[in-house]
Amino acid sequence: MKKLFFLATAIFISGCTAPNDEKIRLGAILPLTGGMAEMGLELQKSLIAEVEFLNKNGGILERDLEIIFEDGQCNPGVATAAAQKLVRVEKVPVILGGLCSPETLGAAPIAEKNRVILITSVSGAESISDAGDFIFRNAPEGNTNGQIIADHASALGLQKIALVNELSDFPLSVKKTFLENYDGEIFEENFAPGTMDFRTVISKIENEKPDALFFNPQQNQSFKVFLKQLVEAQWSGQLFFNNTVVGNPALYEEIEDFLQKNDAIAGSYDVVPNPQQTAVLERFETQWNRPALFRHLLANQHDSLHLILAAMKKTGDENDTEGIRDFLYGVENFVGASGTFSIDENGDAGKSYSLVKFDGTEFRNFERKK
Amino acid sequence: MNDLLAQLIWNGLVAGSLLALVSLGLTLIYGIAGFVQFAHGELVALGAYGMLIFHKFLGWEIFPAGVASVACVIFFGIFLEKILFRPVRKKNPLVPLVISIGLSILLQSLILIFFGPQIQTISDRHFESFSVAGKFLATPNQLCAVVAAVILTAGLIFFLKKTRRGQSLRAVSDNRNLAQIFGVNIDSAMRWIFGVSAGLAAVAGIFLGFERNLEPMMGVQISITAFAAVILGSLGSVRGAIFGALTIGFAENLLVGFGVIPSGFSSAIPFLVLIGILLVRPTGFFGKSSQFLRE
Repeated sequence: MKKLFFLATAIFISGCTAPNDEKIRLGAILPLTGGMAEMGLELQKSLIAEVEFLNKNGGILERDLEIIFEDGQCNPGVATAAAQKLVRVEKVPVILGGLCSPETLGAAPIAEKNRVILITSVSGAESISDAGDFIFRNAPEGNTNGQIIADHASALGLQKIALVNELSDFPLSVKKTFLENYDGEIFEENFAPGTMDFRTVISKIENEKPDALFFNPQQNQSFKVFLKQLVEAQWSGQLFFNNTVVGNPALYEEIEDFLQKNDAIAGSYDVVPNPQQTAVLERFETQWNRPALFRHLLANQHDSLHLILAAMKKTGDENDTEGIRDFLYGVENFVGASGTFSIDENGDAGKSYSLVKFDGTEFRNFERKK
Repeated sequence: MNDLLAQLIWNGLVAGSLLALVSLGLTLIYGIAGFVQFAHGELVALGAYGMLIFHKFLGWEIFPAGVASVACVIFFGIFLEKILFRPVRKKNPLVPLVISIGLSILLQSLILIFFGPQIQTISDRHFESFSVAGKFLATPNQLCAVVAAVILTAGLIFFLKKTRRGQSLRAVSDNRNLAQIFGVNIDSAMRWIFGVSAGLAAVAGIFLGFERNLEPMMGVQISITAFAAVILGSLGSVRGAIFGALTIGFAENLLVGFGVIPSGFSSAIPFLVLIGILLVRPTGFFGKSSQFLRE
């Protein structure tokens, strides 16, 4: 009886601690619940579709690929726990994510300490560049988002702007460069994550009579309620947003006219449509029977996955994380769904933002006045 | 030209009125059942999502949809009392409290599963507002919320003070055993109190849904603030809950509006006010004894 018990325990423990198949396992940390879940779930769906496609076409290193998803909730503490599970229990060599900067920054120390590759396709906080040797970013730095909006606002001759920031890593990076680059007067207000009532902030802004308003959130759930209350406050004037509000038509329902009337402009990923991107989006649509949202993010994430797979092919060993790291630092002119890019000495892909304007249905590239 | 002070006072009144509806339910349950109902915020969310179903998905007019949503949540509140809380009524108050925490998490998860994580809007109309005497802007929803809060609060006070049923509820809150000896049906009293507080939560949820949109965690924030309001006014006091809610509503708007506290810290205001008042009056503003359902 005692022997049977030990045998059962040994089988149970081995089942818990080591993969019992020959699949190549990667980890992913995304917000699957909470305020950013809509975006996180969309990226998860895209990864599932991509993995299915890859496995149908021979997998990687002649083995199937599997992604183990963990919920980071856009929260550094939760992301730290998720990274610990992926690294220590699942023993993955690579983590894709996080989505929000707090998630990425929460997971980064665990990945770095355990020499596991962490590659984010979305997070924009400035400090990610210094997060470690094994930490990579295939997305633009948030501060450049602030810069292009500041430059555009200055070019338009706007004298006074109300800047409303969510108190989180990415919006604060955007804010920093906006303050550095904008020439005019700024009236600044901030709000805590999860805030769902902006009437007081909007009343204060209306009282200041700015020429324009720059709403700079981390979580796009605040966008809809802020805009609703802004409409009810009868706001009139130029509107600016960061890229978190781009790519989801459901966010603009019922306020399309308002956004268009007030020349809503956002900084968004500079992603030019190309055949690879079209294929990624088609695979998503085939798998989930609907068009993908947040298309610019999906293209970046696709490229992150394929960078890792290219590195694994090069090293021939998915667990050679130092080899993968060295490969990534050597990436030059990688052609992907998001365009052509290289990785610099900080592990950043050096991508940029471009301005997009609301055209009645969606934010799209536009011809700027000289 | 709108006046900032007038606008902030109006915003404070709206926020305080909605908070009062939530706080009243919490204080009623604490006063009579003797425990803090942590899932009360989720009943607020259910009221809002019920409105979404009846009004937006099924296409009912606003008023019948609202009545149907409130009725559903009232029955759900009574059902919860019977299934979850009645069996543990005589146990340590920690037991129903822990059950309510579990219930809160369960309801949040169910909302997430059925409605998804995304923001939902009830309104199918263009957002409207109108100027009141050229001083401040108000929306039809805000006006209805304030009027409904006043009517429901007055009705509740009348019910508790002037009706036989209300007096029996107050007797139960005063001394449950003695009330039972004098013939008060405790099961019936509990049904009433869970139904009434669920109904108040649902009404608040509907107006909050129109005011701030819907998301699965919408009940959490308002219930935490309502806890602060109830403690501020003194646990179990109806008048205290109203006072606490209005104090917090005005404090949040005026302190942030005039820059006394940065807007990023507005969620801390209820607790700053709470700490300030409890330092001066440790039993809350209307606290004198442990007697419940005081005026």
